[in-house]
Amino acid sequence: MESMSPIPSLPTEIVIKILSTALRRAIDDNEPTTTSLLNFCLVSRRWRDVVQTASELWTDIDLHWPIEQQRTWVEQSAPRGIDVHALMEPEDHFEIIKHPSRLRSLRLLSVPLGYLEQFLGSIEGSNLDKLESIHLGCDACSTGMAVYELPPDFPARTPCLRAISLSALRIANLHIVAHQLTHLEIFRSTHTSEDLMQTLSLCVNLEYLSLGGLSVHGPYKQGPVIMPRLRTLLLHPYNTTYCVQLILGISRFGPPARHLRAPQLLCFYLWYNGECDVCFTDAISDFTKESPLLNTLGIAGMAR
Amino acid sequence: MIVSLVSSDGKLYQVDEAVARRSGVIYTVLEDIGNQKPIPLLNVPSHVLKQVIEYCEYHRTDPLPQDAEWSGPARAELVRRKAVVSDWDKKFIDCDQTLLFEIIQAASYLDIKPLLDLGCKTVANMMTGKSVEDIRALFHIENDFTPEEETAMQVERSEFESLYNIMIKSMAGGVNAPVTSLPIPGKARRRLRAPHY
Repeated sequence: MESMSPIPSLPTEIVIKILSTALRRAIDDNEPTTTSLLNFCLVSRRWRDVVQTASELWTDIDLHWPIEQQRTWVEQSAPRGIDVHALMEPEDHFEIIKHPSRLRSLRLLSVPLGYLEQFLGSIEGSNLDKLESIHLGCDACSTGMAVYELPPDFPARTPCLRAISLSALRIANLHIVAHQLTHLEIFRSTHTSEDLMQTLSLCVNLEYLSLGGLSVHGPYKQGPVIMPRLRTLLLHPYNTTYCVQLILGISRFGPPARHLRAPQLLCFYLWYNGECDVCFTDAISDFTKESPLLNTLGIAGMAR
Repeated sequence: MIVSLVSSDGKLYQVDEAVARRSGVIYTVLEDIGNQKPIPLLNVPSHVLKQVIEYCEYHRTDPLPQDAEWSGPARAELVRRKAVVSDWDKKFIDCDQTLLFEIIQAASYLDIKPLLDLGCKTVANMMTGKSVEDIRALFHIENDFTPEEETAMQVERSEFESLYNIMIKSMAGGVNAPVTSLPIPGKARRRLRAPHY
C-alpha cells in the first residue's frame, strides 16, 4: 500500500518542512500544537521518528502548559530559538525564563500590565541575542493606561530584534529600538503623536508598518524617512485625517503634498472613517502612482 | 541571455537567465562557471522541470526572497495576514499528488524557496482538520504500528486532549484549580519525560 504513495520517498527534511508548515497552520488557527504533534506521531513509525528527532517542530511553547510539558518542549527544541506565547495571564513562566538566550519570539496577549512587567523584569539584564520579534498586548483592564518603558540597554541585548507589535500598550521609549525594526505594528494604544514622530523618524529600515486605532494629531510628516524600504503599509486609524498626514504628509489645509515616493511598496491599505475627506483621493492617487511595485491596493471605509 | 537546462531524462530546455536564476542552485552555478554549457539537473525529470520552468517564468519579476536575517516563525507571525496564495499559484499547484510531491522535491533540490513553500503549504492544507486515519488514507500511508502500540498512543493522545480541555476551561474560569497543579496523566507524563518511545 505504501508503495503507491510518493510520501515515503520524500527526504526527511521535506517531511519536516511539511509537518512544520502544518504545525504553523495549526498555530494560526489557534489549535493546540500538542494535538497536532501527537497526531503526526500516530500516522506511522517514520512520521513518529521524524517528529521526535526534528527540533524545529518543538519550538512553539504555550505558557499555559504545565511546567513539565514546557520543559520537554524546551529540551526537544534545543538548541534552537523558542517561540513563546500566552493569551491571558499564565500561572507561571518559570521554565522559560531559565532560557532567555533562546527566546526567538515572545507573544503575550491580553495580559495585565503587571504580568508583563513581571515577565520582562525577570529577563532584564539577560542576553536576548536570538530575539527577533515581540508581540505584546495588555488586557482590557489595562487599556488606556498601560505604559511600559524598555530598559536603556535593551537594544544592545537584542541585536536581532526586527519586529514589534503592540496592542493596548504604549512603550514610552519605543524610539530606542526604532532603527533596528523592519516590522512595526501598533494597535489601539495610547502612543502620542510625539512618540510616533520620534519613533518613525528613526525607522529607516521599516518594511512593514501597520497603525490602527490610534488617535494621533499632526501634522507630522515622517513619510520620507520610512518610505525607502517600506513594502506594506496598513493604516486603519481612528482619525484618518491626522494619520494620513502623519505618514504620507498629505494635508488638505497645509502646503501641497511633497513628492513622496515609495519605491519598494507592494501593498497599501487605508481604512478610513468619517473623518476621511474625499479631497485626499487625488493626493493618495498621486502617492500610489509613485509606488511602481504596488500590486495590492485597498481603500475602504465609511464616509460621513 | 539564454541558459540551457538538461532534465534527468536528457531533455534540453532553454530559458531566460532571469528565469533560471529563480533557482538558488542554478544562480550559484551561473555565478561560478557561467552559462557556456548546459546545466544538468540530475534529480529533475522533464515533466517536472517543465512545471518548474512555468512557475519561474510567471514569477520572474518577483523580488527574490531576502532570507536572511530572519525568516522564521517570528517573521511569519507579523506577515502571515499577507501571506495569501494567489489564484495563479493555486491553479498551478492544483495537480495530482504524485506531481505535487515531485514539484516539492524539485523545488527543494533546485532551492526555489517560494515554490517549496507553496508546495508544503498545499500539503499542509490537505492535512488540516484530518484525523490520523484520514491522513493515512489521503497519502496512502500504511499503519505500521502494532495494535498494542496504537492503542497505547491513542490513550496517550486522549489524555493530552483531556488535559488541554481542562486547561482551556481553567483559562476561562471554569475550573478553579491552577493549571500548573493539575495532575498529568501517567502515560502522558512518561511521554513528556522521555522524548523517545
